[in-house]
Amino acid sequence: MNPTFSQLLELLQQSEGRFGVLAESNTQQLTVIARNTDVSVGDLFLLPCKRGPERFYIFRTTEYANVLNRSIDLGDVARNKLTMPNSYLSKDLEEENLIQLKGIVLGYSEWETECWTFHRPRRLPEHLTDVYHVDGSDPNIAEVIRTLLAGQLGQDGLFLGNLLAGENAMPGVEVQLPAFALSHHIGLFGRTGCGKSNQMMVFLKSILEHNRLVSEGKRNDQSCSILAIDPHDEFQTWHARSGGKDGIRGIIKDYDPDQTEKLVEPFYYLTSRKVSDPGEQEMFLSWADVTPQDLVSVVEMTDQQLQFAHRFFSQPDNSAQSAGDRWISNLFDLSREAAENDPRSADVHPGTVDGVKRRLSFLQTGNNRIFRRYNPDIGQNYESILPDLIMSLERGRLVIVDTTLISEIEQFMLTTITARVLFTLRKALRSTDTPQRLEQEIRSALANDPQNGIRGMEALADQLIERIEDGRIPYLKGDNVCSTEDLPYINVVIEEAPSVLNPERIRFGSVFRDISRQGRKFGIGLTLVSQQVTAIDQGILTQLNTEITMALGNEEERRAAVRNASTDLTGFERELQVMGKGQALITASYKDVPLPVLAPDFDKID
Amino acid sequence: MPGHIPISGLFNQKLADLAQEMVSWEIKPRLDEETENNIRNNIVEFSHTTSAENFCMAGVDGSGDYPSLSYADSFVYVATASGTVYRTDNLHGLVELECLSGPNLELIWLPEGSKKATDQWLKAFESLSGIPVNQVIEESDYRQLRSLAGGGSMTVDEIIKDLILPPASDTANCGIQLRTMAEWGAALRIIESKHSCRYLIMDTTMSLPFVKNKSGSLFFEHLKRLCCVKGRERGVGVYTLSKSHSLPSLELIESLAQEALGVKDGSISEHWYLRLPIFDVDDWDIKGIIEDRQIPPIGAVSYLIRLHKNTPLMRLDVDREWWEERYKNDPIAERKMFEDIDYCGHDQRAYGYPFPVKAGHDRTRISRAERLVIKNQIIDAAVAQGMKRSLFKDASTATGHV
Repeated sequence: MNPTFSQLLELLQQSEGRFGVLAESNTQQLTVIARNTDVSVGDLFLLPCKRGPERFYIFRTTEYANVLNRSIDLGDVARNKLTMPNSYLSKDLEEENLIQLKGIVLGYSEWETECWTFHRPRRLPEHLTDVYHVDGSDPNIAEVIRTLLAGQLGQDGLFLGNLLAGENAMPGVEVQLPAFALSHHIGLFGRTGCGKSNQMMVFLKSILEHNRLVSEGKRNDQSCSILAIDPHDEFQTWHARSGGKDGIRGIIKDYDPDQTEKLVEPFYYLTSRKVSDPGEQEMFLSWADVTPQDLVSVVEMTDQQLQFAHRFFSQPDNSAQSAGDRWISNLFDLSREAAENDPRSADVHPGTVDGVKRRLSFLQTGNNRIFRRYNPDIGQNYESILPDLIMSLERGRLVIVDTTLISEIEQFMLTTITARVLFTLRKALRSTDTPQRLEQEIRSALANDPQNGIRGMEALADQLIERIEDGRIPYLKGDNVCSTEDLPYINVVIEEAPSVLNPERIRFGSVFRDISRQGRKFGIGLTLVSQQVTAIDQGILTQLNTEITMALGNEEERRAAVRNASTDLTGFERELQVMGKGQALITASYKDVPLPVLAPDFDKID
Repeated sequence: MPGHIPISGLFNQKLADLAQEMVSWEIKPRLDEETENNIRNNIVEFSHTTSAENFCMAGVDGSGDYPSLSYADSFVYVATASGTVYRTDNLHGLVELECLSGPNLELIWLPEGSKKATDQWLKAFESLSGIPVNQVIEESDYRQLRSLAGGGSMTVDEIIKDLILPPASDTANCGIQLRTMAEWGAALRIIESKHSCRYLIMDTTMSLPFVKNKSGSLFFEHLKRLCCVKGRERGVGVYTLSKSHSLPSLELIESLAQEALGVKDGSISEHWYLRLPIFDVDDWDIKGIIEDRQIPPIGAVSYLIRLHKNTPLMRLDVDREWWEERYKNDPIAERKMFEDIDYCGHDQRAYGYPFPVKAGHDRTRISRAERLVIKNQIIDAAVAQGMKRSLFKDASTATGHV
């Protein structure tokens, strides 16, 4: 039962009482005169209004000034202070020391058919409306805010933090993203030291919690999967190594066997180190997992080089068989003389061939930690965790990837390959409605057509089909093919996003650009983590639906954040300038109002 | 062409004639040498006072909207006044004390018909003063002063019947009466409050315009004198301080003050006062300046005072009886009074003017926006009772003054 206008007003009056009075208002700004109290930029206020339907306007301070009641010219006062010896400033009653607050109306909640509905600020409160301060520590006020902003705060979703009123987070007023936000692209922007890691930890924990509730039937929603790149190897153990709180490992340790099977297996943690603890897995990929298009996302290639790489991958050689997933080993073994006789390279400049080889050199043994050779002709069989990784992500899993010991290229290759394969599979799934056609579609999408001598990504296709058939990848429901809407929302985190998503890099195409444009349809989204907004391709930025904006490094970045936000950030520019550690502004296309939040300290939450 | 004043030769001649009349009036000699000497000898200097013992000073001022609205042939006036009380303080100079629970605010509806209007006036008098009309007149010493001034004597009831009540449409006089009553009503509340103020100062004068008349009086005259009576009873000095002192040739007095204080030409003398002579106390006068003006007012003593070179010469009126008790034969106490007032005039917001009076003015001042809101609220309340919104007129636009 929703509290009525009178009930909410009573709660407000029971608390601090009236804080001030609305002095002036227009569609851009409100001015409030209030008692001399300690306030801060970002403080929230409520203006109950009965002009028309019952409403509560929500106002947010963007600036304030001390004013002396009815003093006309403080310049004169300052002058007298300077020039008149022994002058003083009398101490007036507190009510005469006032503050003038200016700010913006975030919107208003209106009582409509037994509940409160939030609206964007198209209307204004009436003259001289009473103004009530939102005191975050007051449970009465928290209840009022929860009621009025229910539609904006979110529920049964992924917890990000508590709503900030000024400098203080409001206990009990949680800001959540809906689970589907993972498949709608998220931007997490913040400079070094702003608290991104802690924010990610809180977010990952809430994803685990969501999955647990879904598996127990307590939440009616799809589960979530996230491939969380961890460049500092923090997420798994957090501060446990220095005697502090454990990370994701600590949460998973407390799962019972049933929960572990449903929520963790086969693994939750990938690393390039040798490991043996449950849920941990050494990470390795195969040369067979790499396509020429994957390289474009991570290394510079000329048009000619790319064209040659594609040709070498897909065109038949002298034996009328395409290299497919053996293209890398074949290319490394291709001598100059052989190249002149190979139909795929005969008309290609040797420099181009050498150029592609050079770009692939990072895959050579000794030049990386995670890529394994693939050449079944000489006994180098397919060894890759990619099929199991895909399987995990299709079953609602959190997978942390420790990238501390691998190079940037390896990290980006892993992310690119995983994203591409997921995207390909989901597209194939959408395009078919029978199990028989599904295998055909998947093989076709992976360029594997053995009947016509096109090898494509044969090894991977075989592994994936096997897992689909035995149910490990849940694409089949009896005799039917699943809809993507039955599968988890998947999110791939791209750390250091500018390195992969800058305009130059995606000039030749990028799986991430494709996912940014179409991923929503297939339930796949990206999370871009970056210190800079400006360095990311504008086309990608426009596809973001959720932005978590933390403290940024300079004015240019703040302006870019405001420009690209999914919700109007007018009036929050100052906020971005003074944001403290752990504070963030949440903007989303499915929310009407920016929400400032403070993520709780992961060390201190249960 | 609108707004264009035709400057014809006839008009230019009229301008010249006017200027000549004014010049002739100005150069008329005002003071003889003896009077100048008396003035010089009675200029008293006091010290720039930066510390004070413990005392309280109150300031009162009024405001309002005169009128706020008209409705048919009636008018609605808004009268308000408020006061502040400050006590001296070593750290802050002055510290405000809570005195009145709220401003003296009254909405007065005056119709044109005389019987109803009289009732409304009397109702307003009682409301603004806080006590019944007959009690004000009874307890005030105005009747005694009138009798002494040759104005005759009347009973309380006769006085009430004889009170000057301007018609509702005489907005200027209605405004003066209502505002002045609001101010003195607030002053009375402060005098009777828990604070024992040494000084209560108001931005007006002690003038009693009708005290010498045989008939007719203004209610606020009675109220003004009642404040002096109550002030004496409770040990509160009632003073008025006015920048509009109705005295010509002040530059002459200023130059005499400079001479008396040895201030160089071109500089402005400050921290001095001059008690204006009283006919039954002093053996000199300034008839040459005041002519037929009643200065000091009946029942009061007047001073000219300059607190600071940046503030103008002002007139301070003191209740005569109060003055006789405390200052007449005690020049040290008299000087101390001005030093106390000087001390209270060092707030940075109003340097050279007693701050409690300035604060009282600031508190009670109604802004244009507030006037508008009050207007709207009056109309809304009336409409809610069934009156027609269209019949309410903004009185300022109705009179052509916007």
